[in-house]
Amino acid sequence: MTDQDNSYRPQSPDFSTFHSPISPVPPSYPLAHRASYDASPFFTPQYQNQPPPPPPLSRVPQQYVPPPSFPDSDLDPDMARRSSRLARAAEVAPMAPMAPLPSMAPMAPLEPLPPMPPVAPMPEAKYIEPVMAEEPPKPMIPTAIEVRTKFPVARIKRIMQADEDVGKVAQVTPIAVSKALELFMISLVTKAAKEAKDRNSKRVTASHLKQAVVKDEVLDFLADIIAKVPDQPASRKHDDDGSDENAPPKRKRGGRRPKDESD
Amino acid sequence: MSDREFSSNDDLSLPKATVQKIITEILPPSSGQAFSKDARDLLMECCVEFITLISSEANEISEKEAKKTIACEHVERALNDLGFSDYIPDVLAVAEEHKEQLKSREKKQSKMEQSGLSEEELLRQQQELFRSATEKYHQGPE
Repeated sequence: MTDQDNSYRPQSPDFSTFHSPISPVPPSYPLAHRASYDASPFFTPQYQNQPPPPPPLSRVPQQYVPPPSFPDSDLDPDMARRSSRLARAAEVAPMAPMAPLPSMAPMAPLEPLPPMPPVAPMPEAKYIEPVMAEEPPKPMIPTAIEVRTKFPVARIKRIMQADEDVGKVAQVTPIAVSKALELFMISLVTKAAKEAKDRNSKRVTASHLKQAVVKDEVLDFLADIIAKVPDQPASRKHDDDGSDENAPPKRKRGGRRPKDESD
Repeated sequence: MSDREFSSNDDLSLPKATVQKIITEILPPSSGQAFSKDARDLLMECCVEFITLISSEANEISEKEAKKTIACEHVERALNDLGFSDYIPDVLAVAEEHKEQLKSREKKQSKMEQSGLSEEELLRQQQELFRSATEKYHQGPE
């Protein structure tokens, strides 16, 4: 249901532009019905926020084609299929041989366009993808998040060398650490976001982050830091800040908890 | 030393704007979730802690090998020892990419040397080009 809505969402403006050619079609025509259904403003507002996944466009034009000036509606889907085959075969101008049919004109740009621009050199291999798999962007599982913003490497090197024991650092090392940090951040943020979601909160707070850290053994080294975070979300007070501000620079070995090492 | 301790306070955390940007990339507005400021500040502290942890672990490893410089492989092993082995493939890929970039940069730098001409010779050629361009320019409009 939602899938369908999504897939049609980005299309709504297209339909409106195409409305005029359709209009001659009697309202009883089932496919025309659908088109107007999709274009109804009823759903539009909510879904506009969502990043439009490459919609299964190939399907849309097929439903679309029949209406205008075509008595033989059975022919058109056939044409569409054939034309897509042609597109694969000929790479360019799939409609050229079909030119005699005026109704194909609006469809021609629609079909090859979405897959073409990114794959101009070899459309054959990738052209099929959007047709078969409807949601290529879906595999955006948390671990596959790509972060384009990079940390300043110099800063990371300085943080590394703030530890007096750490001596020279190879040129690549801060870059490697920076990547590791990026992955670390992704995992922390997604975990905290999940905690928030489980509690029906739209705001990811420090205590959600704390919950995420507590759950993961690997993150034990953060126990020190999260200890000062209260479990309740209401943590507006900065009582601890005075003492904490002095603390971070003095900490040499972050991994150890004071409990373990207290003398 | 004392100088370092004072001035470092600010330098020793990550830039807020960058962290915020990355958070928004991970949790885009379309996800419907917002990351609060206190969570971000905490996250930043955690990040610094993470860097410190990795680098001190890598440092220990390199010291055991009697190496004076922390290399990528030490970071790799530190990640492994600390339970972040999932990160290793990506980290290595980035390190490799960087090495490739360095190589190509070196090549570019040595282009002048590869030309096999002395600096004077190159300068002379440049002057020659300038002169011919000037001549063409003066002749052109007529």
